[in-house]
Formats: sequence, structure tokens, C-alpha cells
Amino acid sequence: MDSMPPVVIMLIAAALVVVLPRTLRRAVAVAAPILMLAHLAFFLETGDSWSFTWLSLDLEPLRVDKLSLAFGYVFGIAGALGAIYAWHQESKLQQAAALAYAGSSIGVVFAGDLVTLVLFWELKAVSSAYLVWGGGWPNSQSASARYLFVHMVGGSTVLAGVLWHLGTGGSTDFTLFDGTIAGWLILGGFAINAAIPPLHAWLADAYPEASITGSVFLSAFTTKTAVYVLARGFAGWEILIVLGVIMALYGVIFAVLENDIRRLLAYHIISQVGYMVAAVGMGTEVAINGAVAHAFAHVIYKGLLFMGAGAVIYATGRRTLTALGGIAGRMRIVVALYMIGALAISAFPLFSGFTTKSMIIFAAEEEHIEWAVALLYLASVGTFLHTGLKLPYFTWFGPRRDDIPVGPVPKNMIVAMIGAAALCVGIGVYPQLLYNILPFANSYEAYTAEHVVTTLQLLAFTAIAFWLLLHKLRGEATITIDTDWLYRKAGKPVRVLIQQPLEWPFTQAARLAGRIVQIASRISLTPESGWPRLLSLGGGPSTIISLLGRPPLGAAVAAMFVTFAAIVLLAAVFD
Amino acid sequence: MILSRRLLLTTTVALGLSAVVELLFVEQRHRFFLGSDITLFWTAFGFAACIVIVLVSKWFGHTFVMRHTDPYTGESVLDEPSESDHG
Repeated sequence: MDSMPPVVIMLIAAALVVVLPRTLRRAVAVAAPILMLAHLAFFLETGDSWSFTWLSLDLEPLRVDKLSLAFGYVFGIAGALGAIYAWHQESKLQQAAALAYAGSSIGVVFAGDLVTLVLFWELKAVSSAYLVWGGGWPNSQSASARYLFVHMVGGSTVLAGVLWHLGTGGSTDFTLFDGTIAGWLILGGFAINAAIPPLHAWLADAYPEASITGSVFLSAFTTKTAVYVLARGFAGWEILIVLGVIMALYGVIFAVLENDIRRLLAYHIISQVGYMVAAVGMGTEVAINGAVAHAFAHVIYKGLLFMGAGAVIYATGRRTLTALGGIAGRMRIVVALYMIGALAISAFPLFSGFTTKSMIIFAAEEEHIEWAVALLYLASVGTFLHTGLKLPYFTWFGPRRDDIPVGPVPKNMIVAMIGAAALCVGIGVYPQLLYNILPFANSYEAYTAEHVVTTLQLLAFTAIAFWLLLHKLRGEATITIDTDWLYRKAGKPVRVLIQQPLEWPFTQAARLAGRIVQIASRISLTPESGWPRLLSLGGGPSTIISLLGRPPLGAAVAAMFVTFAAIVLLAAVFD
Repeated sequence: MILSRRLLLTTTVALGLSAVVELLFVEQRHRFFLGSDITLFWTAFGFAACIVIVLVSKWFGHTFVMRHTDPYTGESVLDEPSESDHG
């Protein structure tokens, strides 16, 4: 057991939920991350490893150290809470995709070599794209195609960097990179996943179009996996301090403009991940501890915020600030639990962000990077302004509105939110729990009189300024263009010239498969049971047609093709 | 701007409380950057930062990136997008 990669548990569970009946499927989805957590806690310890040689490549699918364990623990917690939140989810493919996505993120975290890393990196992109693709919103499919396109470009860039690294005599071992072309290529690929501007627009484009349950998973894994690989491979690269601070402010500025509640929260992922990226750039022990601690806290409070936003959308069918407001009296529990997440992200004393975000700012103070300290404080004002004040005020408060229908929220959603809220408070009240699992011995003390008092002053006067500017912060029915405008406008020629020809064989194969299932279901005595139903994955014979008929495969293949062509050109120039 | 009596009263009380608590409990102030060790600095920082973020972002948004018509479909942006089966 001490040499079994934890990803195995998650991938077996992902395969099982496709074939199991509904209740068992739900139980497996919740049990798998809990089992995985038990495996981490009781069977794996720092120094454990499983390695072998394949095709003259030294592979290490399992490498356990304190950095990987910390991310493994929080990914397990996020997987379990997400599965409870998604207990009512009827789509077995969404459940399988969520498990495969969580599993492949865990696979990345425990990969000791670059080849295994790339394998799980690509699996993560494909499985997460399905959470967007099956979102059910009018724009879900096109958003997932763009999401997959961007992540295939990112994955291909990482792969090209790895091949370059191996081709120039580098080892497969995943460790700190130096400033070679291979290192920069890999950093570029990781930067896409970390949503570093201008490579960030996929996040705010895709997450609001995912299913309610899907966006909870999405908020946890992709960007935090990127923080992990940056901490492992690029600690101390000073450019990341600048990029991280830009991220922290960029997310705040765009969140002011947003009307869609999950898009607003998505911009705040960029902002919060900015703190972690900046900390990785500082590279000191306290900074890396800060990046890991804040990633840990962030996965949980951001999951809770997306759960709260999802509960609103589930209950009302509405997702914009302009269409919401005045319903707090009918959603008291959801409001209370959301506010715990909001206080945690705002770094309010006794909540998790207070004990983790400040560790990063403390690291910047120790390194005397005064401009970064000032700008990170500025960004934290923006965080409280949006997630703690603007979003809850315009979603739930204001004049009472009985014209908005508010349906019941499933109990499983509330249970998951209670679990996440308890952790937000737990880490805030007793941070030693988290500090004990950080990569380095902790030297930071969050609860000093000065820190508590100055934080309360900062937040109180942010709230007063919000009150003063309330009329300016109302949602506006607009669309905000971001850097995705560049490839969305360029999308048509790419679609006609590259994507459609590449997609043609997949479309034809899908039509053929659909035809076979239709014929088989006619032949079968009980067409809605037996193997045709199994083939159609529970949704009737038409499902397989819709499943395969317009998947974003073409976008994926086109992205890989274009990226590889660009990198081959680059290689020709530099060689 | 909504300069109501309630807002002014709240601000005054919050400022007074901040000063009392800071003078009573905070023995040593660190200087993170120029001016950050002045008493009540963080009240001014929170207030000013919030106003700057809102005004600059709104100006930037209205001038450059906010659109009332969807630039990708050409349709007007509604208060609420059409509903769908979003599980």
C-alpha cells in the first residue's frame, strides 16, 4: 500500500460510477476521496516512492514529500465536499469527470517525474472540460471548446518544454528548473493553468458556464495544481512576484465590472492565486509555506463561495446581480454559510484567510519588497469589497423582492457547505492544524494585537467606503471583454480552416456510433434496458449521439496541432 | 454619494473605536512601507483603497471593456441570460 499512487483510488472510482446504479454511484463518489485521504494519512509518509524504467525513461508515479502531501490532503477534502455537494447530480458522466479531474490533479501532485506529470496534466484538462461542456447553459459547449483549446495549448507547451529538457540532457526528475528555453516553455504552460494575465481569460470564460456542481470542483483544482507545480519547479523566479501582484489586482478590477455572480468569483480566483504566485516568486521558506497554506485555505473557502453561488442559481434559476436581490429572508442558511466563506477570503480574524494570506504579505515584508506589500494590501481591500460586500448585498439584500421565485436547496448542498464552513473557522481559530503540515517549520504568528487591530480597521473602513459608493456598485447588464476577445474573434477562420477538417473524422465516427446504437435499440426487445442503454450511458440512445456528435475534440486537436507547429518553428529558429 | 447622517455617525464611531483600541492594545507598530506606522493609517488605507478601486475600475470598464451588446453574437445583453438545464 505504501507504493500505491493515490490517484489509482480516484480513477477506479471514476470508472465505477459510469456503470453503477444511482445510489451506489453517489456513495462511491463520496467514499473515493475519503478513502484516498485515509490512504495519505495512514499509508504514505515523506520519502515514500515508486519508480521504474520504461522505454529508457525513469518514471516515478509516486513521490511523497511534505509539499505533495499538503496538496494531496486539501484535494482529498475538496473532492469529498464536492461529491457531497453533487450528491443530487443525475449525470453519471459529470460525476465520473469530476472524480477523474480530482484524481488527475492528485496524480500531478504526487508525480515525481515529468512524463507522468504531463500524462495527468492532459487528463486533468480533458476531464475538467467535460464539467463545463455538460453545464447545460446556452454557452456551455462553446465555452468548453475554448477551455479545452487553451488547455491543450498549455499542455502542449509543457510537453514541448519537457521534450526539449530531455533532448538537451535533462533528467525526467521533476525539480527546480533553470532559465533555459525548456524551463521557460514549461513555465509558459504552467502560467496558463495558473491563469496569469494575459493567459487567464479561459477561467472567467469557462467557470460560470459549468454546471453548478462542476464549478465547485473547477474552483478547487486547476489553478491550485498550477500553484503546486510552480512551487516545485519555479520557486524563487522573481518574475513571478511581479506577475502575482498583477494577478491580485487584475482580478479585483474586473470583479468590479462583473454582473454574473460566478464570473465575479472566478475573477477573484485569479486575484487570490496571484498572492500564491507572488509567494512562489519570493521563494523563501516562509513564502512557500504561505503559498501552500493560502492554497489550502483558498480551495476550501472558494469552494464554499461557489457552493453558495450555486445554491442561489439552483434555487432561483438566476445568475446575475441585476436579476437578484431581496431574497435573504428566504435563504438564511445559505447566506450565513456563504458569509463564512466571504469572511475567510477577506482575511477576517478567526477565519482561515487571516492566518494564511497574511503569511504571504509577511514574507514580502521580510524580503523588504515594499511595493508588493502595499499592492497586496490594496488587493485585499478589493477582495472584501466584492466577495464580502458587493456580491452578498446585491444577491440577497436590498429591498425585498417577492417576484423572484426561490425553490428549496437540496440538503446535501447545505451539508457540504457546513463542512467547508467548519474548516474555514477551524483553520482560522486553530491555524496550527494547517501550519503542522506545511513544507517547512513555521515561524509565523498570525494572532498579534497589531495584526488583528489593523486588519479590523482596514475591513471596517472598506465597508464604510462601500456604503458610501453603494449606488456605483450595482450590477450592470453588460458583457466585459477580456483577452479571450483575441482568440474568440480569430475563432472563425481557425474553425473553418483547422478545426472543422480535423473534427471531420470524429464527427463521422460519432454519427456511425449513434446509428449503430439506434439500430441496436430497435433490435433489442427492451430497448431502454440492456447493452444499448449501457452504451448510451443512461440517457437513451440519443445521448451517445449528443455526447459524441459535437464534442470539442476538434478544438483540442487543433490546439495541439497549432502549438506543436509553433514550437517546431521555434526550435528551428533557436537550433 | 450618499452622505447620510447614519453613515457619518457610523464613520465617527468607528474612527473613535479604532483609535482607542489601537492606542490601548497595539504596543509596537511595524513600518511595512512609508507611513504605515502612523496611528489610524489602516483606516485611511481601507477607505481610500476602496474608493480608488471602485472609481478606477468603473472608469476603466466603461471606457474600454464593458459592452451593452455581446461582441461575439451581436445580441443585446439582458439583465438575466436565458435559463437552461444547469443541474
